[in-house]
Amino acid sequence: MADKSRRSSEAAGLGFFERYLTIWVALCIVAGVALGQWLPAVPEALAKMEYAQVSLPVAVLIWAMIFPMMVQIDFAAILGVRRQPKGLVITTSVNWLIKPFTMFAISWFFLIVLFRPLIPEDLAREYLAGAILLGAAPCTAMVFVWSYLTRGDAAYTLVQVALNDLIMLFAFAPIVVFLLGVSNIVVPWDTVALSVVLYIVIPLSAGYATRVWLIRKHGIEWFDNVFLKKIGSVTPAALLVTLVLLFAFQGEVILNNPLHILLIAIPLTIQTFLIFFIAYGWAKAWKVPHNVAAPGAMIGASNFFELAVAAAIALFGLQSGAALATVVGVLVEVPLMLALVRIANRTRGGFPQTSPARP
Amino acid sequence: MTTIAITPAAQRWLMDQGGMLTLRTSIRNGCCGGRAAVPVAEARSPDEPLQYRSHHMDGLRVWVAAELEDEEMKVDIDGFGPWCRLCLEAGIRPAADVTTET
Repeated sequence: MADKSRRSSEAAGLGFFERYLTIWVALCIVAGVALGQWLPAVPEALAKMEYAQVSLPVAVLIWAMIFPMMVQIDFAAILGVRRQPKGLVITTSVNWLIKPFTMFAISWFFLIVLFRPLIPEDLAREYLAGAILLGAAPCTAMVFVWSYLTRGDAAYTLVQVALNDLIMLFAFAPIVVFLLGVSNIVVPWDTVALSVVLYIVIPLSAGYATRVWLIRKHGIEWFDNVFLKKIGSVTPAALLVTLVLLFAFQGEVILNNPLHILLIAIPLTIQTFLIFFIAYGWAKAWKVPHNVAAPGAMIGASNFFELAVAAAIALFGLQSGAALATVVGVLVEVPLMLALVRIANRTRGGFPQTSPARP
Repeated sequence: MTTIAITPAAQRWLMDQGGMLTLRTSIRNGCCGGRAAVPVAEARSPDEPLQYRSHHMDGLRVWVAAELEDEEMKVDIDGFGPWCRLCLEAGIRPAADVTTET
């Protein structure tokens, strides 16, 4: 009974939609595959709407996914970079020096080596590329929800998100190009640069400009509590529509290899737990307070799916295995992260506690 | 009961800025849905003062949003020189608690 009550309180920050995200993603997969099989004219017509090899409907959907996340980034929070130096060292090191490389190593071992009899090599390399894109994009928005569920420190969470977003701007492309190169997956630099400009630089700049303009016009309270509330549902809605479209193109792959979704999920699940325990264990060893350790470990365990999906589509196309792999990341996100929330809350006693009102 | 601690550095800086302090929450949306209310501190009076409770403290006028009542909070200052910013140490709250809509 107590366990049931704790579980329900651990999911209390999640509404009905996000709590059952896995089910909606699964339904989008079914809807997309059905659309591709029974009404192939729809995806074919959409595929023709492109300019300079960029699919316009997909670009609009990706911007709709990413812009609302970028508009809420408060870069001024970076001024607090000296606030919890141990927490920031752990988070930054794990996110940028460890996470992309463990994601590559684990996914390579499972997809290329262990599952060789089950996945054709060309397809396995595409899945590996998708996993690499997930590993290079730490969570930027959902971490606030995970931080709330683990009673994380608000000021620290703001700083770590601002710092990670700033690093992502410069580190995402080089890490992706390097790891794809190691995997013998050739992607021209200019293609990567274009996807970074289209799906990070433009939404980030537009988000920042919109933020500044709206705050000047209506005030920060209106921006925070009215505007952000209104656009909050745009990202998940655009994500689900993108998934339907993506699976309208992926129908043959899914119908021919339904087991692949499960196979891709295995390394992604192991990576999520590994990254959480590296950051969380490191924080415990350094005696970091729990309200910093928990959000610090959550940001690396979770991924910026919209960016990974966008980059996979831009670099490899809607029909690619890379795009499918990034979607599997979305599929397993909420159940895995809620499991980590439970672990963090049950191990709170092993960390130093802080009372915010006591200097 | 609301407990607010203001560090001496933050208190001096706030006095220089006019002696007003607003404590409220700022919505953050999750990329997979869900939202949280992040507590923030600002050196100004609120847009809708009626939605706040006002206190006098350490020579400052402090405005606390309804959703932060009964919180333990610490106000500090980050940065240096002209690049200073208030920091509010407090727990993140469920977004459903936020009542300040203008």
